Amino acid sequence: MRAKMSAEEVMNKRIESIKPDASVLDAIERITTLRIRSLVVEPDEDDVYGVVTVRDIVFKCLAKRLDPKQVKVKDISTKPIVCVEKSMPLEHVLNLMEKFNIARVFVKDRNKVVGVISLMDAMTAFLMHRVK
Amino acid sequence: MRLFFGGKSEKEVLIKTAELIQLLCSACEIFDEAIKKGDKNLMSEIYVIEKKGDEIRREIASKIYEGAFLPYLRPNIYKMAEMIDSIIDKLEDAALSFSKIKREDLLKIIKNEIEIISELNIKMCHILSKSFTICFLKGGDLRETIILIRVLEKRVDDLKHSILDKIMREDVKFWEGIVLLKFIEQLVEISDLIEDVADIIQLLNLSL
Repeated sequence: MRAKMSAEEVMNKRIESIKPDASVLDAIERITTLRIRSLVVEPDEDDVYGVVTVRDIVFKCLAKRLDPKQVKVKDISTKPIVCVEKSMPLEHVLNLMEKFNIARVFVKDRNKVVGVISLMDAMTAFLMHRVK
Repeated sequence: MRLFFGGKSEKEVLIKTAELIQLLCSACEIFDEAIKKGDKNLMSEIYVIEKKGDEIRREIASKIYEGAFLPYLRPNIYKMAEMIDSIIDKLEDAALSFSKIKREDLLKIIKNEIEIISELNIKMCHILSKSFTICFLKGGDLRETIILIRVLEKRVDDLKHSILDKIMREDVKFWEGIVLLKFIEQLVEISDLIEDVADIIQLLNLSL
């Protein structure tokens, strides 16, 4: 029954992004203001999306005593992001997340990121499916 | 229908309340369509639903006044109906504020967030309807529906910050800002109120 849910049905359409040249401090500001855990890093000249998470900020910048005002988001972001097609069944998406030990995957439509699926989104989707 | 509500008046009150929840679902769906199409004229249908909602609430009040339900249940049964009606009122207020927004460019900036909130409101209404059915008609465990409502409400709450963050970067005149802020607050409050109704249903479930 669960395999019937597609990535599109489960994804959160709220995508918050940041420019690759923005500072880590800008990213911290956005993440705390918006109460989220990650930001999509807009494509640079290489035309590839990235992601910057709280984990990246802490381990790759703050813990190394680097100045968050000086470090650019593109220097600590993860690239490329793990993307799935919007038609992919949730079961496959979860297998992917488990296999790569990742907390979120992005959903794309053609070449555009249109949503994100976090573990919390998956949990909500399962609950939603159960109460239907 | 659960055994506690064998009486005719009780059944009528419950049917009317279920009708009120269905009206709320319809109002949310029309609101969503109006937002997505940018059709402010569609909002007039919500004004009609709001009047119908008032009528049903009054009918519920008179049935309770006639003696439906045991006295200890009456306040919360009426409060539930009153609150569902107040959500429809809030949706009407949001519709009115939406039709007053003149700055289409500002709406465009926050369109994605507004659409997501509107979709979440629809989902929450349907889950509320499910909670009501479980509590009063079918019986069963309410926990999953209540958790889901809380999770979705939190999502709406988080989106409010995203909207404000985007709007605060724009150059907005005082009255334009007031109208827009009112619209956002009214839209966000709908999910709060749905959560409050879900809490009352849970309370009633405990009292039965």
